Amino acid sequence: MKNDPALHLCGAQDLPRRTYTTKQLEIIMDEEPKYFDGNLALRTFRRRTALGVWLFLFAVIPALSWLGLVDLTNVNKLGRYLCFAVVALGIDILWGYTGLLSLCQAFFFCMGGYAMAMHLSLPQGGGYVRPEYHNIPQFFFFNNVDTLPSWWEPFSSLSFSLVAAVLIPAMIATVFGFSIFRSRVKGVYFSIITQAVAWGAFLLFCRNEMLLGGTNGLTNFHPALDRDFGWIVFFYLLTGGVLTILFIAARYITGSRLGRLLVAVRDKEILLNSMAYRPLLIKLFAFVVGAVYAAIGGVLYVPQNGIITPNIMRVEDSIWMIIWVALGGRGRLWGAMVGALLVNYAYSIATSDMPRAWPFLEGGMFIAVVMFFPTGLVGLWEAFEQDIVSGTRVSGIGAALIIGILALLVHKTSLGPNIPHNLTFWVPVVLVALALAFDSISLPGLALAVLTLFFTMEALGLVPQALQGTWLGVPVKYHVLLVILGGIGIVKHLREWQHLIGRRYEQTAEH
Amino acid sequence: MRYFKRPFGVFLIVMLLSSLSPMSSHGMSESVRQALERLHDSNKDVRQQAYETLTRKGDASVIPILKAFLTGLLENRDGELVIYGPRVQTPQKKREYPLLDALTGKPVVNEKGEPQYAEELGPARMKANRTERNTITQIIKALALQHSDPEKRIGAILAAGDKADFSLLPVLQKQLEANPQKITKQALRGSVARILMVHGNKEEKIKAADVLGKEGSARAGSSLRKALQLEANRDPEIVSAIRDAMIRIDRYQSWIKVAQNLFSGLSLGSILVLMALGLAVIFGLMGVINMAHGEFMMLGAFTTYAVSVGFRLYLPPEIYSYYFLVAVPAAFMLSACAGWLCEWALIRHLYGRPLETLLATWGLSLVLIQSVRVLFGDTLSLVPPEWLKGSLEVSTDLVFPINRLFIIGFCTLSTLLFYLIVQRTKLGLLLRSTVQDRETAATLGVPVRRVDGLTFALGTGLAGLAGCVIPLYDKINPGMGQGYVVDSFMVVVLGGLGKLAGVIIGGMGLGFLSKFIEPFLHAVYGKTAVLAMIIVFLQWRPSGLFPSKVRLADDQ
Amino acid sequence: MAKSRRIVAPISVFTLIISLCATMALSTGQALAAGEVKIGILHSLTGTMAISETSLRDVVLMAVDEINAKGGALGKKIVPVIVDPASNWDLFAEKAKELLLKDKVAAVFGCWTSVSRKSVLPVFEGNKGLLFYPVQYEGEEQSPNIFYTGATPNQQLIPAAEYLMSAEGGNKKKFYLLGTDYVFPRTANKILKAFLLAKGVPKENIVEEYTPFGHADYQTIVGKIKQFAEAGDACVLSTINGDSNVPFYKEFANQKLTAEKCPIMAFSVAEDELRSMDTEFLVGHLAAWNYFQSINTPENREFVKNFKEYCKNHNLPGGDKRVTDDPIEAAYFGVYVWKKAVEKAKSFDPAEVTKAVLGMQFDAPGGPKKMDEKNHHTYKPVLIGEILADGQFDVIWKTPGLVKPEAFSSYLKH
Repeated sequence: MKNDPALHLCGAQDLPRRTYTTKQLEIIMDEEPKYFDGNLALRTFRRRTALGVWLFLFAVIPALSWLGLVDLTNVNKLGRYLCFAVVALGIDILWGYTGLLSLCQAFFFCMGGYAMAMHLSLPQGGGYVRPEYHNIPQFFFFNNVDTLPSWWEPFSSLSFSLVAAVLIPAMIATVFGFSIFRSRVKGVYFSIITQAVAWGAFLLFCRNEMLLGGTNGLTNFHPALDRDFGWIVFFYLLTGGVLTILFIAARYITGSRLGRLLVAVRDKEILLNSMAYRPLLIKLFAFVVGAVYAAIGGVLYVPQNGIITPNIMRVEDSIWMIIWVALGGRGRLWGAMVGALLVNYAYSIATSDMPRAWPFLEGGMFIAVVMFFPTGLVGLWEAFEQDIVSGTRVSGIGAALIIGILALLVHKTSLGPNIPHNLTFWVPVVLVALALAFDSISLPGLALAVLTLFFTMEALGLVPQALQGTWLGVPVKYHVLLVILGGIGIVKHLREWQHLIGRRYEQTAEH
Repeated sequence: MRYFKRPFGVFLIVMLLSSLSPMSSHGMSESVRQALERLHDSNKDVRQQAYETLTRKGDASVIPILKAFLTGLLENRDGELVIYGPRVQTPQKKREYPLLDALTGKPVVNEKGEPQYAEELGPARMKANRTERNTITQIIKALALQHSDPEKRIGAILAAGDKADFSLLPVLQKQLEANPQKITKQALRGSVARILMVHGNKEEKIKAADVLGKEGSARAGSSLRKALQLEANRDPEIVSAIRDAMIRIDRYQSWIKVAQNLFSGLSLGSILVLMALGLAVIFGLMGVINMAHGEFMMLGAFTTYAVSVGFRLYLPPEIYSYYFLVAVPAAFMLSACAGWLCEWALIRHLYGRPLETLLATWGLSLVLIQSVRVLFGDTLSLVPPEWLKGSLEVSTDLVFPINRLFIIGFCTLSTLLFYLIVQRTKLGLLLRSTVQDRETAATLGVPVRRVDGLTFALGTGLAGLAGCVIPLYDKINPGMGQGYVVDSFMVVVLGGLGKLAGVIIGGMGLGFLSKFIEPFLHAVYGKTAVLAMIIVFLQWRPSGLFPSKVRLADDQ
Repeated sequence: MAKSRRIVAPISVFTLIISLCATMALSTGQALAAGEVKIGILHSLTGTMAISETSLRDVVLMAVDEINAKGGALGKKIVPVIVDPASNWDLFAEKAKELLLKDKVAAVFGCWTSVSRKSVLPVFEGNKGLLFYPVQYEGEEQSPNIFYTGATPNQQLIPAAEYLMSAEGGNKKKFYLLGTDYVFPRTANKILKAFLLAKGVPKENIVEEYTPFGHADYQTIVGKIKQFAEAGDACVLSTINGDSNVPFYKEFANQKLTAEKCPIMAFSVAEDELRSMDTEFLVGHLAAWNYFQSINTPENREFVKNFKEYCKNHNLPGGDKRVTDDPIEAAYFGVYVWKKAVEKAKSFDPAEVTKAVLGMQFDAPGGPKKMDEKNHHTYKPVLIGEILADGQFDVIWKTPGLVKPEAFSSYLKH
């Protein structure tokens, strides 16, 4: 069915892999050779990298934490970020593939989360209740309720809660999606309406009369859940497993004919309509899938987080979820997942390091992604892969980085306490510079390398003293990083600009 | 209160009546002056005597002194009584308390004749003993019945009615006989009736019930309700009179409620219209979802604040209350310029990609919020100009705050102006042509790019205007815009992009709807219900009330 | 040659990914020199709560500076670790874990909202941490790992209601309980209602109403209050939070309601919130707290002066215009309580410190106070203040001594 002529007409046949839609992007794309398809070596390499990362995440890290080398807190944190990755997968299907920008994904996330939290906060789910509050969750007491409301009772069963956690959001998405898509609300109207839904739901959940804990949300779960080694690793691996399964499912969906239809809805809905397809059903499908993914993410998130509040249901949070996918690279499933992990990690360190400047960084991220990196990290990575394919280019920088990181580790393990602190910083820098001089590497690859080096140094606490101060409320190291990345960006832009001029010139010459 | 309850009150009235006739307009008698100085005496008896003297000899001019004494703003400066006035701008550009001579009410001056100010409240302030405050309040009340300021006098009259203070009845009746002014007369009649309702005989009570029923105020209603409880098992005639009066009042009150809701809806709706107009223009013309629209409004609010501070610091205090006249164009210009800059730097790269503009302007809004937070700090509050304070009592109990009235007028005017710009000016012509058919317009020589920029600036400028008036009732803080932007988008969705009228009807409809639902449901449920209604409405009209006849950017 | 490059390439790329992942797993805290001890400061510096919480960070840092200048705690210099939970309740728990496990702090000073405290509570109980919580709250909680230096309901609500019912307070008989919809107002009003009913106030004279966070349009509600107060003897007990107070008081004044006719007794309006507001609309209304900046004792004058100087010297926003208030005082003496307990216990171990804190007597800027022997809360005086034109409070009433904290209110039947 892959060669369905109808789909060919829609221009969808080569789209699942790439999702750029704008003229500007098309130009950029044309500059890149089509290297991927048919390149067996690269495909193998990709598979191996993916397997390596997968093994590292789900075998090495648990093992290391069992040995006590990795903090349980960090395992727990990573586990929660993996839940976000699940949500991001759903958003990617909905937005990256189908082109529907939903601003109420955080609401579906919370629906799943609340269903699970209701179970966990009841004594049957291990919740902490006290006889003075009639053995029901404490917040009922503040609302003058002494007996468990009847609609809470089914949630004492785990299986019911799990089913409800997925079915309720799916049903809401169906009803709501049907009414929206039926009336042919689309594009930005869809975003605005979903935003209003998220806003209304947030207001409702904040009301204490809803008997869902008001702004304080649901808490007092079994204390072991986010404290004991067993439970943390269990949830971590469970989330990993679910993520893997959902990733495979998403890959299957997007790779199938249905996936092509999704892309067709995004790019040429009118045409699809005129060929007797029903975009309504296709859109509804994508919306429900997105909601279910978000809800599953919520279900896994709650026990690892220990509390759920309406605060993560706000419109802001839905938009925040969108940026994971945008930064990771929409239209690429793994891009969405990587984006969810990295953006949240950046959020976590930035709020520790430069609280007042964080909103600037966040806002800048939105603007930069939209204006300069529409392809997100996926774009950087693919350019980097290109370097690898050409083989000759990357070995230098790779070696430089390995030596640099080794140097850092040596310093860290105090095997070489006599190495001056600054030296450990300059060694890799010089090596990278040398690699650049003798080998050449593409600019996005360089950007990726700089980021890697930076995060490694950051994690090992090896940023030199000279860069530890702050300027304008932001640590100097971030200024340095931004200047380097900005420089790379400008150089890259200049190059493209040159291309554009060159191309226009050629065109006029042809005429 | 503990010291003199009823007996003192009666005594007080007798004294008052005896001194009612010619009021001393010239200065204050020596005994009053002495009494004032003794207010803070440590001996209880001396204080009591001072109170009595004040009651007997005092007049309305003593009221501000007693009030200052109550709130601790009266000071005995080396034997001279001084009042701290409300803080003002001094010639040295500081915010300080002006010192007023308590006895004359004029500013205290030094040898050179310059008025004196105090940076902080001094240590030698006199403050009423907490337990005797009620006595002083009572004196103030009694004195206030003679107040030369009609508004304060009416307040005192109504307060007397509230307490059903029988001791004040003779004064009130005496005034009622002599009084010509209409509003005062109304108040007097009401208060007399309410006192009689409690203390009068049968005929008086029936008559009073009738008077109160005619008056129709909630005040009268609660008096009647109390009276009904008292009379319940006594006289059926009185009870039926009260019942009749209450029915009348209830009918009037429900009418008032409707009117009040209409008014609230109108004021909310007009703000929504002002916000949504800019949004609709930007959206309709360029297909740009401006999530930072609320932040442009916030910029307007902060400009207004900055202008008010500038006036206070650098200009004479007499013209302070006119800062608003400068703030309005300033807010418009600043927001418009900021909008124009954003269009140039950011938006123009994203035309034809509405979803991307949504994300980019969201990022922009975060940056704007944090920038303002770093520059100005968090919550601020605007001092509204004098002429926007207070309220207008249109009919009994129907109160329209002046700031809201101003907001309604302002929004109407802005909308009208905007309509004229779009319909009657060249810019409007270019704008409309660009909306209708961009390519043809471009072919005909319309500078569509420049029109885009100007339109965006116009839209954000309108948001700035909204930001100018919103602080009149709301706080100012960097995040204030986010609360309005969802509602404004709803207005645009509801109204559609086809006509200006769509936005106006949508905004007003939303305003009325939420205000009519709110009293029954509660603000949150009301809001949710409105959202649900909009979704249902879209089933019927997917592109709003007035759908655009032009293909939108995302239809391509 | 080509082949070897093929091997190098994947390995190097693989290393990149691993190192990225490793950053999440391996991150460790900064090394600590000998003779130093770390404490954590967990207050939101961005987001909606920043407006309130930033001042608490400032005053804790000031207390740390003062202690360090006098030789530190137990001879060790105190090193504060500041993190920003960004008004995000989930992030509170994450940052608390980070402080306890990565930075290994001896104690944490932080939190403002109830939900943030609820969110970190399991973290402190699970990791044997110690939290000093400086804000008045709804009670019904008593964690062995938290010390509550703010007021319990019986140290704020009940005295305030009693005052309004007294002759001095104007013999109020009708009560409008207005609050923002979250757990503190809900519980506060539940307790107030139980108290008022027990005092014989008829049910129809008590009205309860809640508004969402950030509510700005008070036309309808003030209209209701106006009708309610028309007959006199009414007052409003307000637990409205933060910046919703500005539109509320403005609307209140605009609809011609005055403090004489219907005073508003606020439980969440303090000097720091009034600092940047125009207080014209608020003058004459009341607030109940355990501390006011205007308390006229040498210790308090010194404290206020020091705080203003600290803010000026450190170029903090507001400079010497900054004011102190109840939570600021509670956050400040919390650090001193911890220091005194550390010295008494001769150890930084949270369990030992906890034992030392219980029953401890100490001097705070607002006067001597005492920690309860059992329930982890603080004995405090209750003060009622009247708002003045300069945003300060005039103390008009005060309990004779310290009031015992009740973690679990006796007005709520369990």
